[in-house]
Amino acid sequence: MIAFYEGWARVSDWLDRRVWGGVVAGVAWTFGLWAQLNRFLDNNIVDGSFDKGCDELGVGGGLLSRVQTGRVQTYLRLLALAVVVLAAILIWSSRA
Amino acid sequence: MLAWTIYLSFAGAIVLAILPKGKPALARWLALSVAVAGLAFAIAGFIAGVGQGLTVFVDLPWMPSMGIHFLLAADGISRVLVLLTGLAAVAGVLFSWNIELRTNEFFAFFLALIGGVYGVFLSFDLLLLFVFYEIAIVPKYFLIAIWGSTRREYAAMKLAIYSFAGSAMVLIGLLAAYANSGSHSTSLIELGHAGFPVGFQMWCFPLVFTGFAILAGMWPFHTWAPTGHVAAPTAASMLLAGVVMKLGAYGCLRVGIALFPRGLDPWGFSFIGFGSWRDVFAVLAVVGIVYGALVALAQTDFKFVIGYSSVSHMGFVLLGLMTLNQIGMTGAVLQMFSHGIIAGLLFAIVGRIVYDRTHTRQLAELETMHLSRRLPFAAWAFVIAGMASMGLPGFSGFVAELQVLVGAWKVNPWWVLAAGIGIVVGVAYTWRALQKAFFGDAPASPHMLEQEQGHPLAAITWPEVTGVVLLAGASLAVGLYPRILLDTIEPAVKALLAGGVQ
Repeated sequence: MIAFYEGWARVSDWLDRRVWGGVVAGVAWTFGLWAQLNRFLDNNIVDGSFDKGCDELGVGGGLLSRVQTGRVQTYLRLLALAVVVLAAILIWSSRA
Repeated sequence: MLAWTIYLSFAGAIVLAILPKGKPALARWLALSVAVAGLAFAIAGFIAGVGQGLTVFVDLPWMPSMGIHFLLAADGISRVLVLLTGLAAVAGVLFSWNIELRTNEFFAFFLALIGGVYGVFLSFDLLLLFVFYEIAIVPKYFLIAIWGSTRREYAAMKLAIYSFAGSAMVLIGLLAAYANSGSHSTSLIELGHAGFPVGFQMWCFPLVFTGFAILAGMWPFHTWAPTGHVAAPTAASMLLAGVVMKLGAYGCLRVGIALFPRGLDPWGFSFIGFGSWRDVFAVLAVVGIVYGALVALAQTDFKFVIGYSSVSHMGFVLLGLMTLNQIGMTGAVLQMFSHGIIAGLLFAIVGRIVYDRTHTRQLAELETMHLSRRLPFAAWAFVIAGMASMGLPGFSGFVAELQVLVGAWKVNPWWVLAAGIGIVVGVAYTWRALQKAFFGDAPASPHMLEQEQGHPLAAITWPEVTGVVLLAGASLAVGLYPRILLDTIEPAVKALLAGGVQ
């Protein structure tokens, strides 16, 4: 009888340590991994896309600032380009 | 009476700005006097308003040609949030007692921010509310950029960009509402009865709600919050998490939901499982709860843990708002108050009590300092704040989150099950931070041992003790007897749900 209960006690102890304890450790490990993944996503995707967007906006502003040279020829070239684009749109729309 | 909170704060800010330099003690006491007077008016206004509905106390024509009024009023929701602002202001001054750099200017910006926040909570004119909302944004920038720490310019600029982007969305919605109302008035009371067309509300609601929700830290527009909280000086972190995020949530409720309730109606079709804007924002709120908690769990910087926990806790506010029922929305307002108090306390402990003494926020380094022995008051304060943050019974967070979850269950049990993951993870990150920062058993480095023996950490000061007692006491008082606030919040939410803000 004593041996029987001792056996059961050992099995229960093993279950408690390896199975139920293991499940808890596994869940904790999974959440830890999930937390790391979320941190990576936050730094690189959610926040990263904001930073990238601001950088691109800065680059775009820099490109536009290059056009503002103060030289009349540059402005005239842009005006001419705009006229050509507008004319193209007009021709294309009248055809349609 | 409540209007004096605004006037006093701005008057204090002006006086501090012109005060002769080199008198930091005078600046501190002046700021504290103004903050305490503001809190006294907030408490008096709160007590006077018990059992009363919406009370208008100032109504002056401001831009009569456009029907814009300087209209100050308060209902139960406003009164509770004004009370929160008063508590946060006093605690913020107390935890800034050691500011030596440009002390006058610091407190001038601090009081200007407080004045703006009081203004938002008490404005019942749409344009006036927007003006105060913008006023509150500007001092935030300077507080972080001048007195901040880690990547302060980046954080201040990011906060300003997010805030102004949100403001732009709100402004478009407000202008559209004004133009569509046909009432030639920007009064929230009148616009509440304007009865905007459903089609108009369907596009205006998400625009205005998202614009305000950015400041409330709604996922995925939350990234200004952790970086801003971390970079800001302690008092500014306390205000950012404590009251500024509430401005966003308050705007969502007072303007978004109150003016455009039909914007939450079903679309009549399903798009990837979403049938209305309510579904969309509720899911974003739940994602914020879980995501914020998980990212907090993975942090190595103590202040970032608290920063991301704010994102998670504000998710409960937004979820509560999306329940559109009495219990859930009451819980959302109570959670605004509760989180304002608890987040302020957590940031004060991390930023002022711990960081200013140890000069590190890295949990791995704090683990070797045995702070429970060297700063027992800080350890006890964090245990209390942590328990409040986890939402244990007896603290304000428990009542608030319980109400939100009960309200959400009535609408969609899946929201509650998902949010439950966030609560469990919330316990994990709080205990992890507590264990590592205060009860770590890692062996101290020789340098640390030398410092421990030769240079004991500075003793806890009376402003720190007073601040902790004030905030922890407020959370306990509401947790033990929530009717103090619920009796004021519930009628206001009921009136709002009944249609219109009256």
